Amino acid sequence: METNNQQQQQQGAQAQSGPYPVAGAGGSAGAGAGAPPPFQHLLQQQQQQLQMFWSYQRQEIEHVNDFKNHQLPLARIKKIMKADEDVRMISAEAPILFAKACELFILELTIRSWLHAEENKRRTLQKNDIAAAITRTDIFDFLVDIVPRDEIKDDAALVGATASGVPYYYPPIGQPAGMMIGRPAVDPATGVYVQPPSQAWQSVWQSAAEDASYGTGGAGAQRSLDGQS
Amino acid sequence: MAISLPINSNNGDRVPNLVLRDKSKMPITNMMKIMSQILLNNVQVSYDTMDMIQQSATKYINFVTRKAKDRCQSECRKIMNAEDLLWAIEELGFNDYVEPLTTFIQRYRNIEGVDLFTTHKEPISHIENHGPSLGPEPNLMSTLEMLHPPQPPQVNSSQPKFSIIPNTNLEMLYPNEMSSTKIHLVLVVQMMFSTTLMFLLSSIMINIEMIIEEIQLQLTIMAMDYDIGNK
Repeated sequence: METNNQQQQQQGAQAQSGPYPVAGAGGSAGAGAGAPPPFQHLLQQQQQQLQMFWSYQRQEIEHVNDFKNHQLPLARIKKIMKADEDVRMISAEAPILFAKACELFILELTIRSWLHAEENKRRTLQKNDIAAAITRTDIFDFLVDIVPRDEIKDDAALVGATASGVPYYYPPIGQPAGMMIGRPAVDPATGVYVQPPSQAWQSVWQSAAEDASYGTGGAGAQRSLDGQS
Repeated sequence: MAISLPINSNNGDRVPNLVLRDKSKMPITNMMKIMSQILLNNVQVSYDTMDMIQQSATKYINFVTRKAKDRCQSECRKIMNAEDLLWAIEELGFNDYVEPLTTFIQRYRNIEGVDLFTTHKEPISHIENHGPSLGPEPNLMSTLEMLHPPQPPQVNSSQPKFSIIPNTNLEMLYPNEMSSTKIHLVLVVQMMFSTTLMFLLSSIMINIEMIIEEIQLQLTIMAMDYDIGNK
């Protein structure tokens, strides 16, 4: 475990230099995208992407044939369910259904977070992206406990800036003492985690309407497994 | 000084995260696989972000489980099942999840149904066993067919017999009566004749015996007369 964590940290350190030019580009692009019409267009695009996601999920579930291999371990789910002492007996189907439900939840949370990161022209998912997704989505209200106050403030500031049309971006050089609160949002970038290669899955998700995407998805899964091994 | 503080906070955050992660949270590796399905290749996820999503997933399970428990308790049931979870997910506002999950669990049960169908192979073989029993029935049918063809011959034969019987009876009756009459006459005649002869003979014998006795007496008397004359 520790070795794996160290390797992940090293990978993060290696990828640390990447985001800097991206951040700079994001800043200039953010200044350009300050007009309200692009903002509404962006919202429509986000909604379309979410609808594509759900339609793809329905298609995928229709074609699922392997119900024994789950992305999430059933024993762990059962243990978490039983954390509530009043829950004593659980049917065999409940953890299986929960595995799928939890998968959908993680996917939706990831998409909404990614949409927020995309708004700021960043290529790294950060805590404030998760916080923004949680704050903007009503059904995620139960997660407000894990959102730090700093993240909430940053998100509120971002939302306000976007709504008013004024770009919200401060260069790191000229940060005053009062802005030190926003510093933790940048520091997490030091522990950047690199995603395994999954080009096939991207094509699968982007071309959800095609029927042939299922076979490509399978190939993508195999490739991702090979990449990991 | 500003740089050292974040490092300390990071170090402080990592230790308890490792402990909590091992105990009662979703494993990060599995979550990374799920997230990689939709994230682009060049997208990176910071470590704190993964931890946050991990906590979110764990809270999601606790959140839905607590709601499902309310339904179990209201209905006085001890076993929490898939319907309780679906109900809780819908009650908590995750409407987009209900349709995919319902389809998912139905297809899962259909596969279980397939297993049941596999268990029902014996009834299928029983039907196959019933096949041989159907075999005799065709035989019976063929037997009936066998019975049916003989009927016309019987009918055909019955008519000639019916037509022949009177003739046969007449031919048989006349010879029978003639022969029987002759036989009766011959027998009766023979019996009467033999009886008559026996009767006559017996009567004659009786007469002959009487005559012989009278003759002997006469001879005896004559003999006595002869002796008296000699004196």
